[in-house]
Amino acid sequence: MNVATDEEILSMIKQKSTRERGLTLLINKYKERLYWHIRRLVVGKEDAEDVMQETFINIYRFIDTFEQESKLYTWLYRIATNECIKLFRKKRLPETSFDQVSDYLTNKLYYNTSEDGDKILVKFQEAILKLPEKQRLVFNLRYYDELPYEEISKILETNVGALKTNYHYAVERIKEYMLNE
Amino acid sequence: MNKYEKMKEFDFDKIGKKLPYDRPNDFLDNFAERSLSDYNKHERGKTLRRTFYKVSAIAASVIILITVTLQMKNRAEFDGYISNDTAKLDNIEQSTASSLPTSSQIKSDDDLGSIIKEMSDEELAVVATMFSEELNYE
Repeated sequence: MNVATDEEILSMIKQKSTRERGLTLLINKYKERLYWHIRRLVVGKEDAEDVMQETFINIYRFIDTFEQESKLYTWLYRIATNECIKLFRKKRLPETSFDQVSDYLTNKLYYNTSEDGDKILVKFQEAILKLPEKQRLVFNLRYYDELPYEEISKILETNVGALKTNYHYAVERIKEYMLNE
Repeated sequence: MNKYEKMKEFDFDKIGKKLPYDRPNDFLDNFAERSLSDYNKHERGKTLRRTFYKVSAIAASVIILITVTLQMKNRAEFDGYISNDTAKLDNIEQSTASSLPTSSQIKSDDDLGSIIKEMSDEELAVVATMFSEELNYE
């Protein structure tokens, strides 16, 4: 099955007669990647579905403003990441520390894990959820999505140097957590 | 092996990229059609609401305009009635004044009586006013 290129999709979206078809192709091309990116961050199935819907509403609204200064998937990831961060802010009360948010997500992890889920995988996710927010974001984008630092920099609006540092610390903390009995 | 060596040996490839979650088939299949349909419905609702607000604003403006115009018209008509009445009285006064007999023409009470008999009610009212003004001067 031939997958349309980003240029073809954007060209279809710009024309009124093919706009709907273009949007459908866009969604089908990126929905899996975006869903799992969101799911890794918010953990909960319901939260992930809500964030996914909000993400795509923003994509439909603002697709005409996309000026191709970055790659299309960078732009999409940025919207999805911002929606995840909005959700964290909503869930986070003023007196709630980061550790409590982390505990909240870890509880969600156990609730959402399938019965035959690999324990190592669960522990690995737990290790990631224990990371500070920035490190968690960088680790997910680099490790799972295999995005180059330059693209991550545009998504998180952080310079490449800081991202590399964050990733390095994230890796060390995860290893330490995994090796602890 | 100490902790440092263990950490050095740790291999992420053994963990891989798999996640301990099930794929939500119901949600992801047909997501495109559902999502676009919901968005289009939402946008249509938004457009209807915007149109309703615009039409309401225009209707309200028209009603205010009509009300103000009517009020101004009523005021103008009222002022016109006053000025018309005043003009009528002025006309009566002038014609009455011009038709009033001079003192040389009134030779007796009978003459005065017949003159008064021939005057209209409006003329009599004017004369009464004129006399009362004269009395005030005295």
